[in-house]
Amino acid sequence: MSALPEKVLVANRGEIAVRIMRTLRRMGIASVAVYHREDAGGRAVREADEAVELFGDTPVGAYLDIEAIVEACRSTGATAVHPGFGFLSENAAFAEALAAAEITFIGPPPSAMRSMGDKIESKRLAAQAGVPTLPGSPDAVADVDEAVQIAEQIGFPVLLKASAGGGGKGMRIANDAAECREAFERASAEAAASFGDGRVFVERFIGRPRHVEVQVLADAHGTVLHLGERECSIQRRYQKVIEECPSPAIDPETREAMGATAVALAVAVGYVSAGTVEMILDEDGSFYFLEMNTRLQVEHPVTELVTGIDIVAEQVRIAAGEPLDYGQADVRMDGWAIEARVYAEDADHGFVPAIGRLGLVRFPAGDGVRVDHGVVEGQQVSASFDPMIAKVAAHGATRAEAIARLRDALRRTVLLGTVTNTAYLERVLAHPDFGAGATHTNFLAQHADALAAPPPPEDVERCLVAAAALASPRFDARLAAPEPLASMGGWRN
Amino acid sequence: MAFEITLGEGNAHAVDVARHGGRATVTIDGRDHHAALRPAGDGYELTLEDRTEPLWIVVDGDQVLVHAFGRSWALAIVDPVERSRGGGPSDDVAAAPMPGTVIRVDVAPGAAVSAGQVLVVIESMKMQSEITAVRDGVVEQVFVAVDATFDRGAPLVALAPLDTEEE
Repeated sequence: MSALPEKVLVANRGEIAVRIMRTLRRMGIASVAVYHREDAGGRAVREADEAVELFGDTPVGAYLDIEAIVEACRSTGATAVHPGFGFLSENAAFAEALAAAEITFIGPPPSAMRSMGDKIESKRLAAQAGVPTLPGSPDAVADVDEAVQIAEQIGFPVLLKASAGGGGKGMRIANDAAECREAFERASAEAAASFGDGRVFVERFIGRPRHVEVQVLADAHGTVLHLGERECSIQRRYQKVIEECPSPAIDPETREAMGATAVALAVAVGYVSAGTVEMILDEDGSFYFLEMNTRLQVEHPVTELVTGIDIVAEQVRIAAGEPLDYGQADVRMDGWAIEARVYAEDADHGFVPAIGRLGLVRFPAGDGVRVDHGVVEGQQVSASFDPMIAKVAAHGATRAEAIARLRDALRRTVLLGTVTNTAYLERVLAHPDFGAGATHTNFLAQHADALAAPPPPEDVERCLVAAAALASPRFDARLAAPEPLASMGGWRN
Repeated sequence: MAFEITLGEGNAHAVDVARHGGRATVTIDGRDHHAALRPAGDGYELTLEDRTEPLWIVVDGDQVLVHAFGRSWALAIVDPVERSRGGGPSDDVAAAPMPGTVIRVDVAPGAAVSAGQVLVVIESMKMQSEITAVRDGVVEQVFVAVDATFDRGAPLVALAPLDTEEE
């Protein structure tokens, strides 16, 4: 068994970099941030013990520069790298480049990343490991005619998916042969353009699926266990918006069965570290393998809130060769946790991404409330990176309590200067079907009208107009003795 | 003379303020309200007649951003005199709804287009969207090329103004 690293470089940015550094600090490990110029004033750079600037053709490109990150490890003496999620987290070549430089990659072996990173190969391995898979083409379809032929065998509607895809990119639904032809061309072209790999496969499309995923932990000594499931059915365009642990649709028997298949897959691919097996849950209770994410997930906080296990700390210990010191029977699920992703986007106008300078930032705190964020007041929200600026989560004894706490926390999340979706998220949580646990991946589309912003009541509008008038220097400009906003403190009870 | 204040895309309200020490009279659409705004906690507190609401405010020029009643709101202050001097926005120009990159340009200057026809395809935050013509017309200018990046509100394609257009 080797010792924990003394210094870890976090090859990421924003909230997840901050979150990883918090755990490193708690473990007595120094942290190194890497950053692009745009993030120089960001929270991750402040949180780190040291920071190294990266350069790139684009801001995102800076965080993808393997050579520069290896060099940053050398110059700072970091002996391990945590990749977070996105960027290089599922890049096997990155893990290998680190290994070649004798730097520990805090993640799974490159072989597991490769086999699970390919949708077709991962589905084949899942089926071999006994994980149920959706009926579909066993391999990439050769051409549009084969796509239609297989679709007709499976029965419409079908889903066409890019082999190398993710996040909904290169995914198309087809209801008949004509749509299948068009979907094939578009999915293939999009995949080739985005991933340099135009391979597409076809599978049965499930109408009202739930997205349920199992968190797995595996050490290097053969212990593999699961931390229960998360349901992430509240999605928009295949991007998760609200996640919870546990799932309202899963009973203990199904949890056991799903967990066992996820563990079996992890064992089959020689998995080590934290990973997530994503599945589709049909209304009849049957579940099918979707993909395995070989990294920390965005929504890991809900599992941490319910199990009390710090998944990042486990990743660091596992990478250092330490064994998991507990077994499946020791994993307890306590209460309910729900997370909402705060995006800089205008939910009232087609969800277009928003930019702007964050003039005022206030995050909520309180019983059961957890906020993961990477922003500082005065920061410019740009279009250079993913629009997610924070994750607000709440834990409660029951699902209803978690919902109530999260709604309250979102109402107290103040991000002035850009447009965010917090009010929309609160409306989703307030929807009676969400409260009833009647969630599925089309939920947001199905309830779009009910989730639209209601017009403000007259008295609310009057208050807001009065506040704007009193705050604006416009009205003061015409007064002989202007009274700046800050001087109003004198009129205190 | 009052200013106009608009909440989001709602109707404009004629508003005036008369201050008396820390208190003020805010006149909204001809009705007077006793009001005060003062720091409270880490934000402010608005008193309007007999109710008091906590809120947070950022003033950015004539845009006032307020977090109150559990969400954020954008209010715009307009001086009716200034507005009468300047021109309003036109639907001759298709502007970028969000920052992004140009994926495809479907039209060239001189092309006749009909309402709803795709002018350019843009990509923003990993999503592609089509920018379409809001009316029938003739393309006067294309401001962007494939792979060009742009900010929100940037002009993408201009149609020839209606009065000078040839059929």
